[in-house]
Amino acid sequence: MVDADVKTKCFISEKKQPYLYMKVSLTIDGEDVGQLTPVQYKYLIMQALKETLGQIGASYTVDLLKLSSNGVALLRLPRGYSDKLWAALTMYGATPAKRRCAFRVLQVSPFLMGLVVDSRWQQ
Amino acid sequence: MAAPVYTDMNVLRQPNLSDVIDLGIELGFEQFAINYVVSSLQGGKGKKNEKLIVPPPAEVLLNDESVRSIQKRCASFKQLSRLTAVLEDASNTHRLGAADIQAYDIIAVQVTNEKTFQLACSTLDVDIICFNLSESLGFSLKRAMINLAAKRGIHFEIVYSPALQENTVKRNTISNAMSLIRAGGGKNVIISSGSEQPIDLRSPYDVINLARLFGLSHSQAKDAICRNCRAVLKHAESRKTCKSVVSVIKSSNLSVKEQWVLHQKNTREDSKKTDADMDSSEEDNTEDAHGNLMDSDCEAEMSDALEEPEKKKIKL
Repeated sequence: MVDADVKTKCFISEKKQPYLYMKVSLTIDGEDVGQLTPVQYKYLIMQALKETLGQIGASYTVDLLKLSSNGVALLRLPRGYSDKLWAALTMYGATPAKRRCAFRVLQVSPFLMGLVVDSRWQQ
Repeated sequence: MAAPVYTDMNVLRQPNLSDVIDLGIELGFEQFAINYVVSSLQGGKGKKNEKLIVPPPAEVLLNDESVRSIQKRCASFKQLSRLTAVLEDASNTHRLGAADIQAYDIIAVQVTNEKTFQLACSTLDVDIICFNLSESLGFSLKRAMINLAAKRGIHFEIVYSPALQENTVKRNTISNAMSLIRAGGGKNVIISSGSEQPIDLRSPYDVINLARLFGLSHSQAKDAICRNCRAVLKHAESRKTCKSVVSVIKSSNLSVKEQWVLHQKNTREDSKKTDADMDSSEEDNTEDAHGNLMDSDCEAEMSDALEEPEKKKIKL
């Protein structure tokens, strides 16, 4: 919650930003996603891209910046392809081991700073 | 302009329905249409064919208790009943007009071939046309037909949850959805989950982004889960009214919110008695919320005594 006497400032950038930062949560049916290592997580992301977009889609650089213990990760995508990459993540529904899974995007921002606060859950 | 309400127009009726809806609300959806699928409209002419029995909408929907517990978390939660009939051929479509089917909030047909597609686009009185997108359609979606359906206020549905599992299904779904959107110019499309399990659901923003992959623009993509769903509901509502303008209901069936209409009618009658000019031919019927055709007499009455409930009504 923001105190009444704290002044907030709003900055708007008109420049096109090179990256899109994304907070993604992964759920896998009947599996604890907290156990996943960053390498495994990245592998699943690459699988998702490969499945929908093919080898060319998988060649875009997606960086896994941070992985929290509850399966929530921060990703960095190149801006120009971000909607395709996002859609590929959305369309991913089963892991290689035939377990049902879902990537759900929680927040998107062109700035990493933008992911600090989630306006959806603010009172 | 109504506030955007994210709607999932297709949640299948099955035992863990409440789990699906719980998660859907968490993700940001507010309205759900609970879908009951009828695999064919066969009538009971032959002795072997059993007559098609459609459960009343109350059996399809969640019960009041669970609705109330959901509304504690999400006050704007709303559930709608939807019936989807699979049309194998053009016969028995008159069955769609029967009272037990018309009792559902939304009526959809799933077309399987060109003939039924044309029939649904041109004559059938339905709200949604859907396809089996997981296989190749087997007929081309003609622009003229889609425009005709769009003109009649019918929407086309794209269901995404089957595409999440298998690669071939995913491929077919994407290609069918793209051809549907290309043929229709991106208008009159709704996107829904069709989910059986919670894991099939995606959040509204994921769906909007997915729609962009299918070839919709950003605003069209947003419309596909907000505005067009509202349009479907209005279309369904208009089916039950005369020329989409006036509807007549029995005064005993008025909901609690609209009881004031009766109250006003009584006061009006009283005042009329004192004025001693009686013309009470259509006095017995009360128009409901979309009855814009109020007689001038009544309008004058309303401006005379603008009370609190009436103000509310006018806002509507």
